[in-house]
Amino acid sequence: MTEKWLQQTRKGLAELCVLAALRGEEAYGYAILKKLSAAGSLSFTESTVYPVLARLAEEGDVVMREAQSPDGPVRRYYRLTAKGRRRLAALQANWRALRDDVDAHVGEEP
Amino acid sequence: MTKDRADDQRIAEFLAAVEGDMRRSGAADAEVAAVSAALAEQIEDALGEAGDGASVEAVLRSIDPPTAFSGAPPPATDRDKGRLGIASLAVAIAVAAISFGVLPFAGEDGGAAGPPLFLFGEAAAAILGFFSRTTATGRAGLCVSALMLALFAAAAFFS
Repeated sequence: MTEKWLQQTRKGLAELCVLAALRGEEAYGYAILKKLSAAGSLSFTESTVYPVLARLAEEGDVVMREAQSPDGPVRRYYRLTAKGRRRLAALQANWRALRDDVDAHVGEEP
Repeated sequence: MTKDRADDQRIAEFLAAVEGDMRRSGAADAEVAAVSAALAEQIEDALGEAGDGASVEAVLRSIDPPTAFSGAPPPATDRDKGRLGIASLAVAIAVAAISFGVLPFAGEDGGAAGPPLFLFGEAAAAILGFFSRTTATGRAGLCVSALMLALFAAAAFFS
């Protein structure tokens, strides 16, 4: 029950987290996944991150370019667009408001 | 690590399974291509990070299974079996109804085409029912068609 709830919550937060992962610099899919997986409680996996990344590209929130990586193989690098930055800002604002309200609500002892 | 042809084949199969599942669940081509490319990059990187002792199987096992990328609708095979079961029951009943309605009994007064059509229809229903026997409608279709075929055989034997 708790695991299912966690999965749904993570899924809902994936878009915000992927956009935030690209805030500072461009990155390719696996690098984004590793960055997000490093935050223990998020536990994002490929099947969550890559489809979200693809949809963000489809919607114009990120752009992709193919380039030779320093290690050799060609990789798809993603970076935020202006539209993506606006979307990230909006989602961040929504998330902070939601987090504060939920904290205020569930923080009270019964 | 250095990959051989079998490793490349195994990776291609994995990516094809992911792409197939995503397409069946209605994902757009661009999304399928992007996810597949990201997975291919991940597999290459993971093999490189793991060094010479890496195995393609171990890397693939560490990744979500292909079905996880499809947005988790009911598996297509179950949906297909459900449709087969419904088709089996519908064909079995329809052929029986037509045969008993149009013909007093299959083969007796239905002309030369009656018995072959009856047999073909009920056999088709039985086959559909067999392949969807894990569903209630499939089992029902199988039972109805088997009963019809048994009645036909009994009538042919005693006539």
